[in-house]
Amino acid sequence: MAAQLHGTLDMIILRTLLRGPAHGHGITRLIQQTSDDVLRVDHGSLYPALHRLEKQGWIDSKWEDTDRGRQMRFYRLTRAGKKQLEVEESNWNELAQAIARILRPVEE
Amino acid sequence: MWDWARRLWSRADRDLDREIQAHVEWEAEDLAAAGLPLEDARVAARRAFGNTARIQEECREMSARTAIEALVQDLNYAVRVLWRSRGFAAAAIATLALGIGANTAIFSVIYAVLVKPLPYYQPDRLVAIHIEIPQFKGPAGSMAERPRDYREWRSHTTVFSDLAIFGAAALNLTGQGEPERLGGLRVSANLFPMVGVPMARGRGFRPEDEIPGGDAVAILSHDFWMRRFAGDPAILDRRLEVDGRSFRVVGVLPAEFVFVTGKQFHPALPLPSQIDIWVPMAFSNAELMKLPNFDYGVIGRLKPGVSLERARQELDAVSVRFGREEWTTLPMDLHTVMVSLPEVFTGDVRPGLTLLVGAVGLLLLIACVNLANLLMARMTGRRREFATRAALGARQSRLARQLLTESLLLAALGAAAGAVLAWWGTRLAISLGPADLPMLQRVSLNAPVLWFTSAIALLTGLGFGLLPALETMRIDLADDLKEGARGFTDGPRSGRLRKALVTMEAALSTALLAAAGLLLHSFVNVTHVQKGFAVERVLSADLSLPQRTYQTPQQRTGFYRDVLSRITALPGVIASGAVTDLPLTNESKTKLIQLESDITTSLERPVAAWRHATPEYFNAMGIPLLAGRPFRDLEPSPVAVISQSLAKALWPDAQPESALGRRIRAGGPPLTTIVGVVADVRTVSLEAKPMPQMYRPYTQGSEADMSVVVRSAQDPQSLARAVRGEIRSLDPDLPVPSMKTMREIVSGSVAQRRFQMVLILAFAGLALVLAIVGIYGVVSYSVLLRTREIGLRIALGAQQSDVLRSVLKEGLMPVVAGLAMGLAGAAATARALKSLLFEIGPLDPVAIGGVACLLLLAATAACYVPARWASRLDPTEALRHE
Repeated sequence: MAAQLHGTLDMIILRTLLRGPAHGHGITRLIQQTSDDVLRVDHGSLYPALHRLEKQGWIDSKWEDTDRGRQMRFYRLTRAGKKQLEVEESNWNELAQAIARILRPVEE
Repeated sequence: MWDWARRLWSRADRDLDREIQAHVEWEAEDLAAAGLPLEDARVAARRAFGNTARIQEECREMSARTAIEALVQDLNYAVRVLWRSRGFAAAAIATLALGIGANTAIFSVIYAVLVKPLPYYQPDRLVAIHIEIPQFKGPAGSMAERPRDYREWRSHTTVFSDLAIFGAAALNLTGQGEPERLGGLRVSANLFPMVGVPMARGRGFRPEDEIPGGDAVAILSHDFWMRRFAGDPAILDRRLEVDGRSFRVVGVLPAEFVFVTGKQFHPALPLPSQIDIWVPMAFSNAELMKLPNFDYGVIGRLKPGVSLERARQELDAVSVRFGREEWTTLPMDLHTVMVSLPEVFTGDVRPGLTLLVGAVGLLLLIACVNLANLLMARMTGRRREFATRAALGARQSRLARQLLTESLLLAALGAAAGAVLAWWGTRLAISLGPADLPMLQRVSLNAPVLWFTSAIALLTGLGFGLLPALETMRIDLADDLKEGARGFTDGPRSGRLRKALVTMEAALSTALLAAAGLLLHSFVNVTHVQKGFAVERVLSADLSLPQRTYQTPQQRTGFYRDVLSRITALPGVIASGAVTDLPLTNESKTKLIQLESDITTSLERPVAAWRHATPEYFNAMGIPLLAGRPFRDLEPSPVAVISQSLAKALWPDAQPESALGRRIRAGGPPLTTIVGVVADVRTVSLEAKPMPQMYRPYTQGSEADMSVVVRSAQDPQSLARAVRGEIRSLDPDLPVPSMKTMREIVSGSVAQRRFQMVLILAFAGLALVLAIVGIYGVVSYSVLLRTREIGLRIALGAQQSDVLRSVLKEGLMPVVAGLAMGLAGAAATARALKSLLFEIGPLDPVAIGGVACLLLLAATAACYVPARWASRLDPTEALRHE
C-alpha cells in the first residue's frame, strides 16, 4: 500500500507537469490550488520525488531564468514520462474503482 | 573511481542546495509581497520548508541505490540470458579467449624483451662499444674490442664514470664427478659494481684479482650453483678444478641476473650460450701486445649528462690515433661505434616482435568483428524480447546498457579464459624461442600483463558490444512488435551491416594470411639455400684441450689424430674429421688475404674466415672438393684449401683449377700454397652470403679447441655413446659436451625466423578459422531468415542449382570484396615486413596467390553447407516456417 501511495505523489507530480514545465515551488502551489487546498505537499517528500522521477527518466530539469530575475530549476515531462503517466493513471483508476467497489455495499 | 563518484554526487548535492535556496527565497518574496517585513518573511519561509538535511540525505541515498541496483539487476539478467544460450556463450568466450590470450601472451613477451628494464642500475646509461673499420667491406668491417684500446680509454676517459671488459672462456671443470665443459666469461673486476649488481652470496671480484697468478677465484651463476652443487650454502671458499688450475669460489650471482650470450653482444664475439662461471680478467702481456685482438666486449657507464655522441667522439679520437700508429702501412681507420646496452639485449628481434603485435592485434579485431556479427544476428532474434521490454516501460538507453552489460560480461569471462591460455602460450614461447634471446626467460604473467589483459577485455567488450547496443537505439521497437507478429524478417539495414562485417573480417584475415604466406615462403627459401655441407647423418662434438695438460703443439695434434683414427674405426662411421669452427657458428676469425705479388698491404683484397681442419674434414662434412686435393697430415710447406668464392675474389676471371699452386699470405707471412678449392659453406647463418673461407691443416696450427665431425651410415645420435667412449678412453678428464647433429645446428640457426613464422602462421590460421565461422554463421542465419522466401521460390519452380548458386553468390560477394581490400592492405603490410623477407619480393605471387585461393576455397566451403541445406528445402514445410 505504501508503494501505491508513493506512486500517487509521483502521478500527481506528473499530472501537474502535463500542463507545462514548472519549478518545485510552483508545483507545490499548483497542486494546492487544483485540489482546492485539500492536498498539501510536504517539501520533504516533493524534492526526493522529483529526484526519483528524474532518475527514472520520466522528467528532466533545467535551470532557467524567471521574470523575478531569479534562476529556478524547471521540471518538464519527457516522452517516457507521458507514457508512464498513462500507466499510472490506469493503475490509479483500477485502484479507485476497486476502492469504490469495496465502499459501495455500505452506501447501499 | 570513488573520487569520481563523489565529485559527481557533490555536484548533485550543490544543485539540490541551490534549488532549496531558490525555493525558500521565492516563498519569502511571496510572503514579503503579502506585506511581511523581509527578514521575518525569510525566517518564516525557511521554517515552512522543514528539514533540508533529511531531503539531501534521501536524494543522495537514492542515486547510490539506483546505480548499484541497476548494475546488479543488469548483471543478473545478463548471466541468465547467457546461461539460456550456452552454446552461443561458449563459442563467444572461446573466440575471445583466443584473441585476448594471444594478445596477452605476445604482450608478455614484448614486456619482458622490450619494455621491462634490465636488472641493472640505470641500464639506459650503459653502452656497448664496438670498432668499425669503414675500409673493410661487409660484415668484416665491424668488430668487438681490443684490450689495448680499453686500457687507454679507461685511464683517460672524461665521459665515462667507468668502463669494463669481458671475453669468452671455454673452461673444463674436472676433479669431483663427471668432467664438464663450462660456459665461462673473463670479466674485469669492476664489471659487477659498474652494472650495479651485488652478489647474492659472498663477494665480487677485487682489483687485486686482476693480477696474473692471483686470479684463481671464481663467481658462479645461480643456475650453475643450483645444478652442479644443489644450492649448497657452503659453496663459498670451495675449490674447483678448472682447466687444471684450482679456483676458489668467492661469490654467487643473484638468480635474476642476465648477461649477453651467444652472438648477442656482437656477431664477431661468440660468447657461451649460457654462462656458468665468471673468472677475473687478468691480461697476459701477450694479450695486451697483440695488435689485432678484437675478441673482447667493452661496456661503459656514461657520466650523468654526457650524450652518447659526445662519448663516442672522445673514444673515437683514441681509437683512430691508435689505428694510425699501429698500422702505419694500412690506410684504415678504427672508428668507435656505441650502442645503448638495452638495445644490445633487444637485438634484432624488434621488427619481428612489432610484426607479431600487429598480427595479434588483427586477430583480436577479427574476433571482435566476429562477435559483433554473432551478437547482431542474435539481436535480430531477440527483437521481440526487447520490443516487449520497451513496451513495459524500459527506456532504449536502458536496453542498450543491458546489451553492453552482456557484452562486457562475455569479455570478462573471455579475458579470464584468455589469461589461462596466455600463461600456457608464454611457456610455449619460451620453449620455441631462439637461444640468443635470454630476455625471453624473464617472460611471466605479472601485474602489468594482467592490467593489459583487463584493458584489452574492456576494449573488446566495448568493441563488439557497442554496435548492437547502438542498433537498439536506432530501431523502432514498436514496429518490431508488429513485424514480429508476421514472423521473422530481416531489415535491409542490419543485413547490410552484417555483410559489411563479413567484408571486414575477410579483409583482415587476408592481410594476416598474406603476412604468414610471405614469411612461410621466406622460411622455405632460407632452408633451401645452397648450404655447402651435408645436413643429414653428421654428428659433431666441441672439444677444448686444457692448456695445462696439452702444452706442446705435438700433444694437441697428437690427441686429435689419435681420437679421429679411433672414431673412424668404429662400426657405422663413414668418415670423421675436425675443424676449429663448424659451419653456421662463427665468422669472427678473419684475415685479410694478400696475393704473393702484393708488395704493400691492400685493403681492396678479400677478407676470409679462417679455419684449421684435418684432412678428412671435407669428406666428413660433405663439403664438395671442386679442384685439387685436401691436405695431407704431413705437408713439407705451408698449404691451404680455399673456398670457391675466395678464389673468385682473388682471381675474378679464372676457373677454380687455376688457383692451384698459387701462393697467398693471410694477414702476414708465411707464404701459403693453395692445394685445393672447395665449395662455399654458410659461415654464420643461412641468410647471410657465405664469407670467403680459407682452411689450413691442423698440423700447421695445432689449435686446442676443435669440433670433431663424424659422418655415419645410420642415425648419427646412435653413435654418440661410442664416440664419447673413445674420447673418454683417451682422456678421462676431458669433458664432452652434448653432441649435436648438423641438422640440429641448422635448425638452431633458423630458430628466430622459425619462431616468428610459427607464431604468425598460428595467428593467421586462427584468423582463418574465425573468419570461416563468421561467414558460415552469417550465411546460415540469412538462409534461416529467408526460409519462407526460398520455399516459395522452390514451389514456383526454382531448380536446386539456382538456389545453391544464389545463396553462394550472396555469401561470397562480401568475401570477394574483403579479399580485394585485404590484398591492398597486404601490399602495405608486405612493405613493412621487407626486412624479414628472404629472396622474394613483397608481392610474391606464390604467397599472395596461395593466400587468395586458400581464403576463397575456405569461404566457399563455409557458404556451401547452408547453401546446400537451402537448396534441399521441402517447400511445403518451408512455407509453414515461423
